[in-house]
Amino acid sequence: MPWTEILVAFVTFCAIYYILAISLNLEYGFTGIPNFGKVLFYAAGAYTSAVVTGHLLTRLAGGSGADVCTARSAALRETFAAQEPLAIMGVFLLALVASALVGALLGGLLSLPSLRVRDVYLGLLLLVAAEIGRVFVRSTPGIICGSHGMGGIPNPFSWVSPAGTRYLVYALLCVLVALLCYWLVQRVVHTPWGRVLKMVRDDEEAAQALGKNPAKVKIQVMMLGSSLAAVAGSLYAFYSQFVGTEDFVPFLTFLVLSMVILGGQANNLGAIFGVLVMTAIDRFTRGSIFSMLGIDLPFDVSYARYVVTGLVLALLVMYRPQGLFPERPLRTPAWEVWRRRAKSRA
Amino acid sequence: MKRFKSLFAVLVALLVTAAFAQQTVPIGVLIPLTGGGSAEGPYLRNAAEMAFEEIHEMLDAAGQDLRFELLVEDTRTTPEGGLEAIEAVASAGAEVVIGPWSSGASSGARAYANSNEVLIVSPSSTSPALAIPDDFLYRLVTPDTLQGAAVAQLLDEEGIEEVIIFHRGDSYGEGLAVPLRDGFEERGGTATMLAFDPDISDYATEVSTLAQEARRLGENGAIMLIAFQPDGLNILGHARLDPTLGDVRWFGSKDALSPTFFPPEAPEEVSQFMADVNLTGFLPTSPNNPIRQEFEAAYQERYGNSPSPWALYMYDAAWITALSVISASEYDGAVLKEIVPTIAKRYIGASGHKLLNEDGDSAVGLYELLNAREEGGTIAPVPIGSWDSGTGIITRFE
Amino acid sequence: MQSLELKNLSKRFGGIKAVDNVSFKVEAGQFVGLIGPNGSGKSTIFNVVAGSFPPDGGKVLLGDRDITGASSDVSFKRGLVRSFQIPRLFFGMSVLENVLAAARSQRGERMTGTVGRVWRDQERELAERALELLEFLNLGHVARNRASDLSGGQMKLLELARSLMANPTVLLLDEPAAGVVPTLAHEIFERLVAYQRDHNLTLVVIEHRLEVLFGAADRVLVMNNGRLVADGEPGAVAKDPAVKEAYFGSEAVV
Ligand SMILES: Nc1ncnc2c1ncn2[C@@H]1O[C@H](COP(=O)(O)OP(=O)(O)OP(=O)(O)O)[C@@H](O)[C@H]1O
Ligand SMILES: [Mg+2]
Repeated sequence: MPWTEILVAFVTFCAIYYILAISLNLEYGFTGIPNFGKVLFYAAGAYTSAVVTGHLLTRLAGGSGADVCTARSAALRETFAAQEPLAIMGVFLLALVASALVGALLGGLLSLPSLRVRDVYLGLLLLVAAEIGRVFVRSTPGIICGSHGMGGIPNPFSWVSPAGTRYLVYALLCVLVALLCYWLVQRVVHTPWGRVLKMVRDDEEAAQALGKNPAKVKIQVMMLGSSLAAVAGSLYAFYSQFVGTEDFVPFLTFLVLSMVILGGQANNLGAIFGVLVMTAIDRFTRGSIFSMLGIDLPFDVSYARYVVTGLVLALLVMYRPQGLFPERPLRTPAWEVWRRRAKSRA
Repeated sequence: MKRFKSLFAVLVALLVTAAFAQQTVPIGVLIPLTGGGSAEGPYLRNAAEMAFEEIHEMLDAAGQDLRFELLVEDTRTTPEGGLEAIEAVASAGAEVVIGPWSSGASSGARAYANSNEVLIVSPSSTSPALAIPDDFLYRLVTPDTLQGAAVAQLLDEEGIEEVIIFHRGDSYGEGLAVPLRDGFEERGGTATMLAFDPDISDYATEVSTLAQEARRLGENGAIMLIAFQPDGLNILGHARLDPTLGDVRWFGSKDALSPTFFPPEAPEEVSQFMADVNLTGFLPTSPNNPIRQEFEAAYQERYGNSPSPWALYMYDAAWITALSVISASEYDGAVLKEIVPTIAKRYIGASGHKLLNEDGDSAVGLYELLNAREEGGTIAPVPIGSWDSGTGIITRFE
Repeated sequence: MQSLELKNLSKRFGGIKAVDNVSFKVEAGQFVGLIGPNGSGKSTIFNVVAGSFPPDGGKVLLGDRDITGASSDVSFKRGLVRSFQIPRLFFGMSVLENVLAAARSQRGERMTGTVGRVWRDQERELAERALELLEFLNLGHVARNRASDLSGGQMKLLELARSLMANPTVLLLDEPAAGVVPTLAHEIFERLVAYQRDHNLTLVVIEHRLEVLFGAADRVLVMNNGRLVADGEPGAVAKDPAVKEAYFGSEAVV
């Protein structure tokens, strides 16, 4: 059953990337904030989870919180998690909540530049902020083990065996969290608040002339969006069971951006399609997958992902800049009224 | 209905014979083809391919129809890439992988390997955070704490009292710099650590900072450079033009003494500088080792350049893995995990003896001491001695 | 019902005095026309009054409250609404949503207000009103279209609908019927007068077609080179030599 494993991993990553995609769509697609620093908030969630797990779980397991970076400490957490379902699941939930909070705080903080700087400059600023953050963490051993990264972030279902079942359960959990995030975002966005976001996106000055406060909604959006991204980061940390700075590079932001653009601006359902396609390209451009399909490629497919990702983006920008699924009006009760009136007129 | 049954039986028979006839064992080869380690990837792939060709010849000679199929996957030099790569090869049937090369990629792959009982035989990944007993990760390289101790001893013996450790600001650089500093200070020396960003393309600013620091050095001061090839060559290129840096004695990490730092792969004037500052350091492979010499010659002949130091380890990872699979009762990660240490213990390869310690990492350090100097018209790394972790003695050839 | 008063208002752009020491008071419930040649500073007055940018000197009073330099969202909340000369619609949104965007006191515009059902009932009421306004301005049939798909004239009408949706007490309209076919323009001004009388709205309208404006306004202000050059009833202003000079130069004869 080799395909189940690959598919379970695929589903897990789709769920994680989907949370990132709706978070970026909220900021960029709905509100027009080009948050090219997305990966920073994803990293914030992963690192928060590492800190919570490192300190809390190690102490629960009877170790010292002073040397969470060491191999011994990581091994201790792993063995403990496999024996204590309640402890690891509790720590996981706490880490998830803590990540969401840290994400919101950091998002609020980094929304401040968006009140003064616009468009490309804002995008660049956030991109650079994310890189600076990454380099800073890497060169500071005091922050979550610096350049070595931290292992021993056990899967919350470490006590489930066999491993196949464990990963399947975790994938389902990720899907569940992604659905919750989707539901939450749809709920707050298909409302007059969502309309204000689009007003700010389309014309900030006109929105202000109509009594809206663009600064306020930008802060709110960055807090919510970053909180979601951090939740995704937390799910990733508990999946890979390791956090290291090499993972949180700008490429990830652009991968997520291409998912959003492919799916369609301000269209969270369309984003599902974007996520499926881009994740498939990202994960399936691998020699092993082709050899499983019995396909013998005459070239090395390892280098293909960058080319294909770039090509998809280029084609999209050229032929369908609005994305495959165009933006639709927000679903508020206003349309019921419109439908009724249209019917009674006819 | 009956017809269907017989058809079904034929199908099953076909499948079974196919499965038996095939006898191919998929092995994952996880290497950095993109990302920070992309320069290393091709050397590692070549080394693995060479090893398996030799293994297949051996199997032919022995009349075995066993064949290995190499599933080469890019780790992108990231933890997530390492995880993705091991998921891919494991799904395609690999029970053991050789690689990953970087500590980050190995860290990302490790949890999956433990859960799914897929064995990792890494040729490198020197991070101390991976020294974990009883997991599914073996490493064929001695931890950098060992190399750090060796360099500290070398500095001491050469009469150095003060050293600036100019190192990559990543897990590799720190993993070597910290034990070196600690070891050197224990011997009464003074060490200053100066990190540089491993990801940038030009180091002019960093080198001028280094020069400033170097001006403060006393009579018996030195610089220890911990770098990979692209960053290292760039740094030496800038240092060459600085008068202060040319007056200081230099030491280097293993890569700085590998062929990739010398012509034809590096500019003449850079290696001239290395000879001028008497750059010295260890290559963690045993000297005067016929297996290594044979491998290097064969590699040179086949690919037209010298193998990187890591290629030697990759070659050994391939052989140890293959020998373990051949002796195993079944192709299974958990079974291989039991066999590999025994095979490794009896194995001496291109990179030396591969006895593993209780953490599953290489235990015997036999390093070659090299010095950049002119020999036969070109500048090259010339063996001038060796160091043995067992005795802690540096033996000088001259 | 509020009055609007400008006291010695000035605004410079580099060397250009776009608005030069302008003072006037619009009484509550008055319909005032603001005319003047291109570049005479009319739109700049709106921009400064509504808070798009602060004045270099002078004061703006809304009723007896000083709103000088207040940002546009604050002025909006006090009842002052303005439209833009070049329509600044929310082009990614539908026509109906553009009108709803101007609604006041929609609880659901606050993030916390989206919890619960109150905003939904509000939304239905607002939608009724918005659709009435759209029909009133001949836009009922395009309510679901994207704003970016409208014609130039329709865009101006939508901008007007949006301004009316905001329930202003003081409304500043910058050429509300530009680009609209003449017969419709007349009709719109008639309806605007009716609306203004009904709601006792304080209204200032910039308009180039004097024949349309003069039939509707109570009073006309004339700008030239950033200065106020005439102020009076439409009949009197039409005969004012300063106005002729502003529009046609000193030798012109009408
Ligand atoms: N944002 C701005 N920056 C620089 N100059 C401006 C700006 N806005 C207006 N101006 C200048 O100020 C002067 C007055 O312009 P304004 O738009 O107020 O004229 P107007 O009377 O509305 O003209 P029109 O009838 O063409 O709309 C013009 O010279 C114009 O170029
Ligand atoms: Mg104007």
